[in-house]
Formats: sequence, structure tokens, C-alpha cells
Amino acid sequence: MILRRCSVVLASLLVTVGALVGVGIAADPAPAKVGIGLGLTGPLAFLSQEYLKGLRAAVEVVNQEGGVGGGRKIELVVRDHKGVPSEAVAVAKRLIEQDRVDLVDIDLPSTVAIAAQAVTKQAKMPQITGFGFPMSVVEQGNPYHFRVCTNAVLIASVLADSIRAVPNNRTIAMLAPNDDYGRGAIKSLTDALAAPGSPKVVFSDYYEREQTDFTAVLLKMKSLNPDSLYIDVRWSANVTVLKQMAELGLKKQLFGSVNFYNTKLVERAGPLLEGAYMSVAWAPVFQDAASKRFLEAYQRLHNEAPNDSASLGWTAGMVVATALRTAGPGADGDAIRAALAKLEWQAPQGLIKFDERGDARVPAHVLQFKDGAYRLVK
Amino acid sequence: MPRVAWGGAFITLVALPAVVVNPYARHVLLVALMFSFVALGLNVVLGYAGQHAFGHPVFFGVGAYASALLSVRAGWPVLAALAGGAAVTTLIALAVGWPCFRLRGIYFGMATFAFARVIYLVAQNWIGLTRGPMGIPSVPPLELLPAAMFPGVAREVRLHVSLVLLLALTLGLLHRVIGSAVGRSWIALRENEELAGSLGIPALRYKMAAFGAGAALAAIGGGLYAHYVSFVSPSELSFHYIGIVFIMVIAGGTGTLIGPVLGGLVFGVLPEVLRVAEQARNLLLGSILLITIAILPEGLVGLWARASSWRRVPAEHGAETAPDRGAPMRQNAPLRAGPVALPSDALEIQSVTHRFGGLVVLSDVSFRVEPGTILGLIGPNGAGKTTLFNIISGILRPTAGRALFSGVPITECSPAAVARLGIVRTFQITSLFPDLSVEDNVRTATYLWAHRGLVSALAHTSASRTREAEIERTVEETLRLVRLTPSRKVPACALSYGAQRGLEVALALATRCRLILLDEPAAGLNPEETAHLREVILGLRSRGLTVVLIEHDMQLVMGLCDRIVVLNHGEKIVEGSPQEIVTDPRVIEAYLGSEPVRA
Amino acid sequence: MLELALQQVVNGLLVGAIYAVMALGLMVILGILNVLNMAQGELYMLGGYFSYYAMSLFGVDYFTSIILAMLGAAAVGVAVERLAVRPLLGRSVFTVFLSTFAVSMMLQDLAQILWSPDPREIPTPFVAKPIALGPILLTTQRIFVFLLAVAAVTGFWAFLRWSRAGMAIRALAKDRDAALLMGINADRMHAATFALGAALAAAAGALLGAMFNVYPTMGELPLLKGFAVVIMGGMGSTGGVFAAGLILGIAEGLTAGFLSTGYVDMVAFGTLIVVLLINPRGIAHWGRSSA
Repeated sequence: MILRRCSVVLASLLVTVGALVGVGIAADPAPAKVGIGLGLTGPLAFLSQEYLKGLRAAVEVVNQEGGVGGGRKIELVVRDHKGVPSEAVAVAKRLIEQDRVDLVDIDLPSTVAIAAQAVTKQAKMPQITGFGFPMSVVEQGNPYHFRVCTNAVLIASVLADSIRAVPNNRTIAMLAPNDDYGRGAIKSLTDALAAPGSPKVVFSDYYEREQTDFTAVLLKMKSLNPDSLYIDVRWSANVTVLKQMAELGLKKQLFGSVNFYNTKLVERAGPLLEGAYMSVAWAPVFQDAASKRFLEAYQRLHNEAPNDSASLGWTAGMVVATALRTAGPGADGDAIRAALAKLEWQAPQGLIKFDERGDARVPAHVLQFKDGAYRLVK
Repeated sequence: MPRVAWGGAFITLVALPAVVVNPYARHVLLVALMFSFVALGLNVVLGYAGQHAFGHPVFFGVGAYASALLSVRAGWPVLAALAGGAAVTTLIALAVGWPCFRLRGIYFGMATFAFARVIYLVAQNWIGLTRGPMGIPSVPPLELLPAAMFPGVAREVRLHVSLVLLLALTLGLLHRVIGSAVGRSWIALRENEELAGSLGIPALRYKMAAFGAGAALAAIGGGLYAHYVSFVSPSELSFHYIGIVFIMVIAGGTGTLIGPVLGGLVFGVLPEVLRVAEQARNLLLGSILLITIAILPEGLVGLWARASSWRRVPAEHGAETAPDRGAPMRQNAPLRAGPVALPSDALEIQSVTHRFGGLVVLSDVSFRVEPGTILGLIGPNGAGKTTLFNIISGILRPTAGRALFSGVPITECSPAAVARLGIVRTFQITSLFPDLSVEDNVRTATYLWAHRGLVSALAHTSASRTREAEIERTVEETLRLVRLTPSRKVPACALSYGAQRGLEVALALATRCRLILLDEPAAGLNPEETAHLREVILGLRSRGLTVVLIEHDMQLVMGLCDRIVVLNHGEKIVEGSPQEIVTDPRVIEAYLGSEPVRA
Repeated sequence: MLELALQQVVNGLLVGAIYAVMALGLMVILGILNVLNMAQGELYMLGGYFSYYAMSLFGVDYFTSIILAMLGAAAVGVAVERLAVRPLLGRSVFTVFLSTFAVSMMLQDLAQILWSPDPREIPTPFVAKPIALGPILLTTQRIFVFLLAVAAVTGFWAFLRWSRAGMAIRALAKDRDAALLMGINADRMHAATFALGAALAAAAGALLGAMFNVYPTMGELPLLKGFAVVIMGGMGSTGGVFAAGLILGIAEGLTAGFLSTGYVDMVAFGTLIVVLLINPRGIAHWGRSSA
């Protein structure tokens, strides 16, 4: 009887163990594996998908042109952390220990990039952030981390210039998502608008990610009668916001962010976007060689025009490839880190060169949607 | 469960890192172990105390935040932060539980859930305290077994071993608590809250205790998690984790000690294992859950050994057993003498009136019961007898009038308070703890004089051992008195009707009360059982208890009672000795019209 | 200021009516079958998707698509009842809770796999231009949604009160054994109850999905708010639940308008707590003794 109970106990424990060991028996480590953690489901799914498309385009091009030296191709291992930081930690660990990648990119939202740094710092695994703007991302004291994209301060400063440039703009109201990105964006923009000649920020509010009805807050904004609005609302809620603004008769000068730069948005609510200025990392109107290369590769692979998020993914992929190539085959984490630290590469967004905190500080740009098309302003 | 099996399981669990080498797999196992604590916490509330607290797992996140904030903001050392976080969380839980416990059933559940949602929203929006959606990064790591003491051993292994040790310690403590009067009281609340109250178990106090204890456990799990993952964000307070913990407890097996641990391990590991099918993770998890529910009605613990003394006795074991007809009853069986009725222990009913809406059920009823006597309360159906019992025992407050026991007014008291004063009752419709064994039923009824609280339940002092021995003696003798000794391990629901009625009397007896209210104890009994009941009741009087008896069996009433009160349509029509009652024309008319009753 | 408040109240009424529809679906399943249907949010989501695909694949107009969505979801509801609820009859409340929770997880994943997380827009025949009613701005779509919600609530109430199936369902809720003795087929009524609850959820999903967007996780928050409204309104009272839904919608609108959007959900659940503490049986029973 005792023996039977013992064996039942042991059997159930062995099942658990077996599962874990099965999980533990990894496939053979392959060269040049890059681990990607994104919020493929969850509130940032759209941005993650676009980012991934850009990444894949970069990897495709690199592999077609011979890989990263020594015949090694890049292999992407993509995992979904749903935008939850604790899941991102598990994803990071799995990528590092199980999938045995050489480099990780954990993005969207920035809190996952921060949470994952606790893991990568300890594991001495090079980590890049390709789509995280808050300053806190580079303030974790992690020498293995590098931010490839622009940041909130740079975005805010360039947009603030455009805000000041609009005549008769005395007051502005703001709306952004209630998460790390949104709070950081409004804070940076408010700080940038402290400079003289800027409109006064009369109202700022945050919306919840799952929110679908904005009439209440839009009504509030309308009652304050500001001269302009900063509407930083993600896809697809931004369609709803624009439509509800029209329903309420709220028509003001619009400022936005990369969330306004979206071909689908134009399809659904183009006329409502007329005249809006937006801060972006990149736009297809750029004519430099790097942008052209990106445009052409992306169009070939995905049969559509890329947007800002895709461009960020492309740059991340290219930076990774460049670093891997420099570091050479069989490089460990420290070698790849060193390669990243001295990297200099011309991206569609600008020159990628990391400062002592691992921040590339690529400047942002401003577009305006005028006469049905996006035009470069700065 | 024999110690050997436990020991084997423990050793296997501790030794797992030797087999599970991959750091990612170890990570998954560690997180699963931490969630076992949370599952154990919910199990205390849900499985043992039977409270449907849908929002309770939020205290995992609260504990994570509390511990993280104490160590990051206030600079406390990690262990202190962990303990402090658990304490803070328990206080918050008690504050939340207090208003929620005014409600019952699903309303209670929804209220706890609403609070959980509010807590999430506070964390999301109170930027000053929690940094809102930005979360709290760089939470310092936990070192329970410091590296200096165990050089060369990897951090995860040390953490794993310390977690298993902590888990073992927690299980040991829980085992003690569940086996004590505290645990029995929780189970009593779960099985039959009304009866528990009548036996003196203060419902609110124990519900709050379960809620708080469960929250402390959840907070420990949360704190461990925070100091391991090093990042706390509002998602730890979201519905996602609430759902996971419920899965662990329910699919693991509620009301058992090992169920939540199994559930925590299996359902903590499973979602990560299912990452092989990234897209369809929840699809697979959902199907596995449904299959588990279908095959294992009791949860994963059904795979475990059966017939353990902490688990609910399975219903199949209940073969109907008639009460023992063999050995003659020794009326003077030495039942451990409790406080006998004192001369002042009179029950006084003073002008009690009660209305249900427009219906007058009792009208200006007054009488007095002398201590050490048997009073019969008779009258046609609908006369208000049980209502009067309900008023005396604290279930109802009378519209007017009051009742006093030993000079103390009892009409404003809760049932548990009335029991504490020395009055216990049985119910018209059989009220027992159906899934508990006969002996567990009686053990639970010893609460009033046997309980000493949570702390003494944990300590294994000689005083507690003496008390436990006394409880067992009481159980023995009470069961012998009502002739249920052969059926002691049978679940109460499986007893014959007569045996169940006998058990009810046994419960009242085991409380060592001074006054017993018996509500139609002979209903449905055959003549032999009735005769036995008569002996038992006489035995109660000889022990100095006061008995008030509602009955319709006139022979029994006449032969047993010292005095009788007759109610009709809520009014007391006569009071007197059996002889006086039998010949009183008003009584005869009330019952039968105009025919005399033969005594 | 008053104008703003009035507008918020009117907008809140519209959203609140939808909350009520969602809540009634939950209430009927909870009240009759004693089942906490955690998959109700997914039935709401399916309503939105069915409407979308009815229009894009079969080319029907919006109004027909709502009917089709309700029918489709009712079928799914019956399937859920048959496969995940009926086999567990007699088991503990939690087992059934877990079962519907598992179904909810599976349906969400299925939707993500089949239709991707990308939100969809249901093309509606409504124009976006507002109509001005005094100081209040309304769109035809919102008016339509409100009227349809009210119609659904009224239809539900009338069905329960006057139709044979409705009376059978109510009988089962009041006294199951007596109802069975009267010859009511419990199995069929259980399926019917689930179908009814699912149809209501789908209607809400199709209506709101057209106003906002349709995506796989859209049902999570409406589920929670739906439960809150059921408890607030009082189990078994259509009028109470309707009132509670409206009150919740108004409270949310006013909070977003005068405080901050972040507090809106807090108001919803805070209101629930307050209502429960005043009278646990809900708004429908205010003013009566809580006996």
C-alpha cells in the first residue's frame, strides 16, 4: 500500500520532471541565432507585427547577400510575451538558455525591455531595444544593452518645434495611452513646451489600452476649447478617436506621433487626418540611400509600403547583422557587445552610433499629412 | 498519508535541480513553486473555509508590490521586506474582507472581485506610489541560503532548495492548523454555516482569519516572485493571474493540502511547456483543463493516495449503519463533567412578539424555565414554536420583547454568542456536517470549550496535547451515549435518519452547554429509537442540563417533561404540569376539537 | 458645464444600455443554471466577428448581420452548454466556473489564430455627421444602438414573461423540482437558456463592434462589467439590471468627463461595492427589507 502510494507520488513528479527535461533538451545550438521577444498578441500586437515584418525583411536581405560571415545565416527565434513584463522575463530566459541565441531584442512595450535587462545583464547576453522611447530604458546600468531607436526627449523636442511654428497656437490639450510610453511621451512633450513661445498645456489625460469609447474625454477637451490637440492614440483606437472627434464637431490643429503614420489609418480616416503634424522615426519620403534600400527590400518581400514601425524593425535587424559580422563566428556575448559598442551604421532613420549609455540618440523627424499624403517637414 | 510517502516526495522535489539542469527549466520550476504558495493561500479561503472569494488571488500582486516597495523605496533588507510585505498585505486583506463579508454567496465573490479590480486600478494610476504602468524595476534579489554558506552552488539551486524547505515548513504549519480547532471551524463554516454558528463558532471571525491567512500566504508567493523576477508591474494584479491561481487550486484539488501544490507545479509549468505551440497555447491549456475536470472530479489530487485523514471522506465509503443495538446503555457513563446548570441558569422569555411582515407569528409569549428541568413546548403546527427557538438561539431578533439566560439578555446576541453563553440547539430539519465523518462532526462541536486560537494551534505544547486528548475522550463518550460508535468513520450524510437525529443530539451534548433546545428530536423515529431518545434526554437532566423540547409525540412529552407550555397561533394558552395540560379544555380544543387525550 | 454634463449623461446612457444587454445575458445563465459563464465575453466577441463576416463574406446588410450574429452565437452557446456545462451538472460551482473559463481561453486563442489580433471594423450604413438636439450632439448610429439595446431588453423581458419557453425557464429558476414534475424538459430549457444568453451577448458585440472595433480580446472587460451590472441591478430583475447598466454608463461618462479617464473603471467597481454594501440584493431591492 505504501509502495503504491509512493509510486503514484513518484510517477506524478516524474511526469512533471519529464516535461521539464523535455523542455530542457534543446535542439542543437545553431550559429547566428537572434532571439526576438515581442507582444504579438495583446495591446501592442499591431506595432509588434509591423516591427517584425521590418526585421524579417532585413534578415532576408542579409541572408541573401551571404549572411554574417563564414557562411552563417541569421535565424530569428520569435516568441510572444503578450506585453507582460513577467512573461518577458520567462521569454528572455527561454531564448537565452533554451534556444541558445547570440543576441536578443525584447520590445513592445518598453517595460518588457527593462524587465528583460535584469536577465540579460546577469547572463551577459547582448540586448538591443529597437522600439522603446522612454529614457528609463537606458538607465538600468546594463552595459550589454543598446537602444537603437530614437528616444522620447528627441521626439518631443522636434515636435515641440513644429508646435511652436504653428501660428496662433496658445493652448494645447493632450491625450496618450496610460502606459509607460504614453506617460513618458506627455511628460517629455510638456517639458519641451516649457520653452518660451510654446502654447500652454491646459489638459492632459490618459486612456486605458482596452478603451474604445473616447467621447467623454473628447467632450471634456472640446469644452476647454484649446487651439490644438496632441492626440497620441494607437491603432486601431486612433480611427475611433478621429471619427468620434468628427461626430462631436471637434476640429482643431492636430499633433501626433508615429501612431498617426499608418497607411491603414489613411484608408479608414484619411480626410480626418488632414493637416496633422506627427513625430516619426522615419518616413518613405526620405530619399537617402539607406531608405531606398529598405523601401525596395520591404516592398519586394511584403508587397506593400512599410511604415515607421517596420523601419525600426529593419534597422534593428541590420544593426544586429552588422554586429554579428564584426564580431565574427563563435563570438561570445562580450565580443558581440564590443562589436555593438563601436558600431557605426547609416540607417534610414539616421546614423546609428551608441553613446556611453548605449543610446543611439537618433534624431526624430516631423511629417505633416497634407492633401492626402505624408510630407516631410523636418 | 504515511510519512514515508511524504518524505519521498520531499526528497524528490528538493533533488529536482540535479535532473533539471537547464536554467530556463529551473526558472519555470521556481516560478511554479512560488505560485504554489499563492495556491495554498487561496485554498485556505476557498477549499477549507468555503468562501467563494473570486478576487482573493489579487493579494499575490499586492504582496509583490508591498515587498518590492519596502525594499526599493524604504531600503529594507529583502527578508524584512518580504515579511513586512506579507504583514501589510494581510492588513489590506482584512480591510477588504471586512465589508465584503457582510455579503453572501456570489455577491460576496463579486465584491471581492470588485475590490481586486480597484486595487489593480490604484496601482495603475497612483504614479507617485507605484510608478503606475512603468512598474518597479531592479527589485533586489532574494538570498534565503546565502552564497557564502554554499560556495559553488548556483543561485537557482539555492533558491530552489530554500523554496522547497519553506514550502515544507508551510505545509507542516498548515497541517497543524487544519487539524486543530481552527481548521475544524473553517471546515464547519464551509459545510454548514448555520450549524457552526449554533455550536458557537463565530463565523465572521473565522472567515476573516481564513481571508487574512490566505492573503499572507499569497503575499509570500508574491514577494518571492518580485524578488526573483526583479520587476513588478500592474499586470501582477490583473485578472490573468487571478485566473491562473484559480486553475491551480480547483484543478489541483480544493480542500486538500497537496492539491494546491500539485496544481501550482503542474499548471505553473504547463503554460511554459506549451510554448512549443506559441499561437495555440491557451487552446491547449484549455483542453487540458477540460480533460482534467472530466477525468479527475477531485482534481489532480485524485491521482494521489486516497483516504487521508485531512481530505474530505469520500462519499462511497458510507455504508448505512444502524446504531448499535447491543450493549445496554449505561446511563451513568462517566461523561466528562462540563459546567452543569447553575441555580441562576434560568431561561426567561419576556413578552416576546414576532411579526413577519404583516403576519403575527408570536404574540406576547412569556414563561420561565427553571434550571435542571425539562420543559416541553407544544402546540399545533404553525404555532410559532420553532420561531421561538430561532429567537432564543439568536437566529432571529424578535419584533418586541426579550429573552434572558442567567439574567443576561440574549435577544441581541448572534447564534455563536448565544452558544457561548451556554445555549445550544438542534434543528427541525436535520442539520449536520454532511460530508464529515460522524466523529469529525462531534469533534467540531467541541469548539466552545476546546478552542484556543491560531497560535496555540501551531505550537505543539503539552497543554494542547492534553486538550486534544480530552477532545478525543469527549468524542468517545458522546458517541457511546448515542450509540454511534460503530459508525464513527462514516460520513454523516450516509447515516440512517434515526442515526442522524441521534448525531444531532450528540453534537449539542459535546458542546458542554447548560441548556439544550431540541426541535422535534423524535420526528420520524420508530418506537425503539424514541425510547432510546427518552433515556438520553433523561440522562441530560441527570447531568444537570436544562432541556427545552419541541415535540408532537404526546407520550414522549408527557412522560418526560417537568412542565409544559402550550402555544397556539403564537399565543401561550396554557402553562403547567403534564397532568394539568392533559385535562385543560383549551389544549384539547386547540389540538383535537373536543376529544380527551390519553396520557 | 451643464452642457458638458448633459452630453456625458446622454453618451453614458447609450453605453449603459449595452452593458445592460450584456448583463442580462449573464443574468439569465447565472440565475437559471447557477453557472458563472466566463465565456460570455467571448460570445460577445463572436457576435462582433460573425457580424463582420456575415457582411464581408455573404454580403448581407448590417441589420441582417446582427440577426445572423445572434443566431450563430446562440448555436455556439448551445454547444458550450452541451459540452462544457451539462456533463458537470451536480458538480461544485467551481468546477463549472473553471470549465467555462477554459472555454473562454480556448475561444480567445481560436479567434487569434483564425482571424489574427488585428482589429476589424464592421462597415456600417451610418453617416458620421452628428445631429444636434438642442445642446446635445448625437449620431444616428448611437441612436440606433440605443434603440436596439432597449428593444433587446424589452424583448428579453417579454419573452421571459409571456412565452411558453420563457415561463418554463422562470419556473426552473424558482423551483427546479416542481418544474421538472410539471413536465418541463430541463435539458432543452438549459440549452435554450444558454442560447438566449449567447444571443444577447452577440447582439451587444455586433452593436458595439460596429461603433468601435472587433478584436479577439474585446470581451474581457465587458464580461467583468456585465457581472458588476448584474449584481448591482439585482438577480432576477430585468428592470433593475437595465437601470444598473444605465447608471453605470452615466457614472463612467461623468467620471471621464470631470475627473480622469483612468478613474472610469474604478468608478464602475467602486459603485458596485457601494451598492453591495447598501443592499446586497441590488438596486431592484432598494427600499425593501433585506430579509
